[in-house]
Amino acid sequence: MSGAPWLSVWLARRLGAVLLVLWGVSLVAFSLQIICPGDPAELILRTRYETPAPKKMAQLRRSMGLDRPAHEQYLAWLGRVLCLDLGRSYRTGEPVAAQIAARLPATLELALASFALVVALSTLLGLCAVWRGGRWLDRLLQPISLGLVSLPSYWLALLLIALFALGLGWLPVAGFGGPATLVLPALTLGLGAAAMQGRVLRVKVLEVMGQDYLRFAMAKGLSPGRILLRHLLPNALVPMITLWGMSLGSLLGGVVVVETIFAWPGLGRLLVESLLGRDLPLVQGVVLLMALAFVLSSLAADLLQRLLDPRLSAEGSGV
Amino acid sequence: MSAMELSDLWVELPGPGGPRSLVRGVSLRLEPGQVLGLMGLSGAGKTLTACALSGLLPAPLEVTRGRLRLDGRALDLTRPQAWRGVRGRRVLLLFQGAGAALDPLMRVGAQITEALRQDRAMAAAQARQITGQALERFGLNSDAARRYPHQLSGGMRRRVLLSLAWALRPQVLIADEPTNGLDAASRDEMSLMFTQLTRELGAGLLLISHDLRGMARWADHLAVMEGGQVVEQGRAAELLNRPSHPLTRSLVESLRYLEGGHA
Amino acid sequence: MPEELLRLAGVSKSYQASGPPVLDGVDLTIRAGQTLGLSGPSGGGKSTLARIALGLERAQAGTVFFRGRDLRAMGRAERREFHRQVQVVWQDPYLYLPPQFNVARLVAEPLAVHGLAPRSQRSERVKELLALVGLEPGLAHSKPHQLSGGQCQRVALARALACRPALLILDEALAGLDTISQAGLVKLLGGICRERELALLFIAHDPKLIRLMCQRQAELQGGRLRERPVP
Repeated sequence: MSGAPWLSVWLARRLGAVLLVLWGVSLVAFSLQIICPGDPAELILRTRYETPAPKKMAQLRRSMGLDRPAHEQYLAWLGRVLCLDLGRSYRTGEPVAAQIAARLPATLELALASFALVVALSTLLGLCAVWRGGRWLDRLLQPISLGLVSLPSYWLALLLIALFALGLGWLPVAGFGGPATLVLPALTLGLGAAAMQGRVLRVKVLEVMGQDYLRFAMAKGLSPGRILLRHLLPNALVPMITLWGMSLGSLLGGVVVVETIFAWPGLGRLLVESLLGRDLPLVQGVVLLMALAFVLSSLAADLLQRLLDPRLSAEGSGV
Repeated sequence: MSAMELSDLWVELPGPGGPRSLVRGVSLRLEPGQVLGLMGLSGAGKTLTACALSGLLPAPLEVTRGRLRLDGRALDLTRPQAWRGVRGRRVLLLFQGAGAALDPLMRVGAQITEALRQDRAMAAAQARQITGQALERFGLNSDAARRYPHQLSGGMRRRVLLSLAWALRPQVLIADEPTNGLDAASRDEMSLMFTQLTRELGAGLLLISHDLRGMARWADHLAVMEGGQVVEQGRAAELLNRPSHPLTRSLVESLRYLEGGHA
Repeated sequence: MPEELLRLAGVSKSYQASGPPVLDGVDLTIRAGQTLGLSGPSGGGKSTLARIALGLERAQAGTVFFRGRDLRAMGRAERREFHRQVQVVWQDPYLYLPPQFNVARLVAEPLAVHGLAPRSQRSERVKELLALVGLEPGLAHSKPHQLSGGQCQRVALARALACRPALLILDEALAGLDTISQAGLVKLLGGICRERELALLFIAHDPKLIRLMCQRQAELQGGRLRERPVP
């Protein structure tokens, strides 16, 4: 690619869009503070076991800037957020950023494990359709994958626990630490998405199989292995990249349920805890982070797809 | 010695009510450096014959009988393994829609090079050199090798396919509707390039087309198919002047009528 | 002189802001019963011209008149009538004939849409139309994928003729057909145009077909239309 000026133009355009989306998310996150019933000052005092006397509350309000008009509050809040100052937790008084940083590794571990599962499993599922010996497997997997797509994750979690933890006793029921504890949460989080994308990929693979260039690759006398690796897989997988990128984002969102069920000490549980405790700064922080992760993973996927598909790079140049 | 002799080809579609024969006992003979035109209406079995001739029949269809002689060696067409080392190397099928025959994610040069290396375990440098020569032979410069298919015009993509055929040097070249969708001028140019390539390689060209006018102009021999069988074949000039089968007669009449547009 | 049907005045069109226009100030008139053949290299703008003449695409400059009326000035009813009177047959029938309908339904559809035959007479009209385009009555229950390319184009032609058009546009409708079908359709169309005084805009890259079918010939190259004198 010669210098690829299209790339910087495209990136600039996309980054602009990303900023716009994040700005929208920040508005929503901030408005929680305005919309949610209850006075934050009262909340804070109660969690500190102090009586919410009107004088104290007024003092606290003033010190937090809650007496100022909403747009001023928003601008001040946004300014702090941009400096990565997400405020302090109402309940513990600790900085939100520190709390998130403490929980992030566990969630990342879980999300990345599920993501690897999604990519590997969906590719395998998709390829069963074309593997000669895999016809019966393909037929068997179709209804199973449909079932996995339609199962809610909390139900799937209970099934997996009943089967692998209680029934067979192979894996721990819940908890955090070591690869064994990771298996069930990662399966719960990833199976649905893997099944869904396996189905999409299967259709894509069959479509590529019917393309003239694939038949021509056979007519050229190439070996089946080469046709699979150099022609079939790239053409079927490149369009999947966007989907995978989006799934990485939604996996991060899915951790809320899964972490709660499996007592996984990550962001999902932090979010649940802070929602229950009306800990707004924490909620805002986690929501912003998840939105950021979603948007950035989609952007990365789009970028990767554009780099891998020469037809898209040409269009991206806008010529 | 003929470039290829096909005898008694049968293609069947297995079904619940017993197999249905779609190609029934087709025998064809290709001479080196000559063009055999295969004509017929749609559904006559021309494309199936072409696919069977390179072992590329789509799934449920199968060859139930048929032998192919290629320079003294006989291949049993009922065995798919027989095609190893033959398909692409000695028999090359180019089918309709040249635009879609190239992988959109691979540079066109690499698509020729990979075919060369696969077949003959050729060194990469040598394969690239031959690719360059092949593209040049059809008026494409070395820059074209580094392009992706979508960056080339339809005409250029067709030239890439011809270059590929030139580089692979098959003994038998099968072209299924190579001029479909082209305007008159490009069609003639394309046919000319195909014929020249055939002569240069000393390969036999099996040209499938429903464009009888092109056939009349470029083919040395003609065969007419109907209902899975060859109903008439012979030297092109003789067959066009003295058609005996009713289908051939009506083909020739139609051709005369359309050619009458000269006046 | 017969009545003027279609007139393109200074029609220009380009798909990209920079780069050459597809059509560059094209003037063209077709009168009732006239047949005009339009040839030119691939990508020369022939199909764009057809779509503009059919009112399916807007020109950036210039005007399209039908029976002297500007297409843009037409009201709903008038526009509907225009779409009945100007019919088209495209190149690939498998792409535009709905695959789930059988032949009888395909041909009856325009009769129903334009209210050209009461329900009771429709099947009779369909039979006549199939006979007119040379399709056996036995094919009435076949679907497009069961027909050959030539038969499909006859179905498409029957659909067009069902509307009793004044102008028929054929956009490469004979390209890609086998020789027998081509010759058969050329004869058929010639007869129908003469008998019904149907005007024809015949777009083809094959000059021989044009010479067989048309009184006037024009060539579209680089967006410009050049009419060749009648020999």
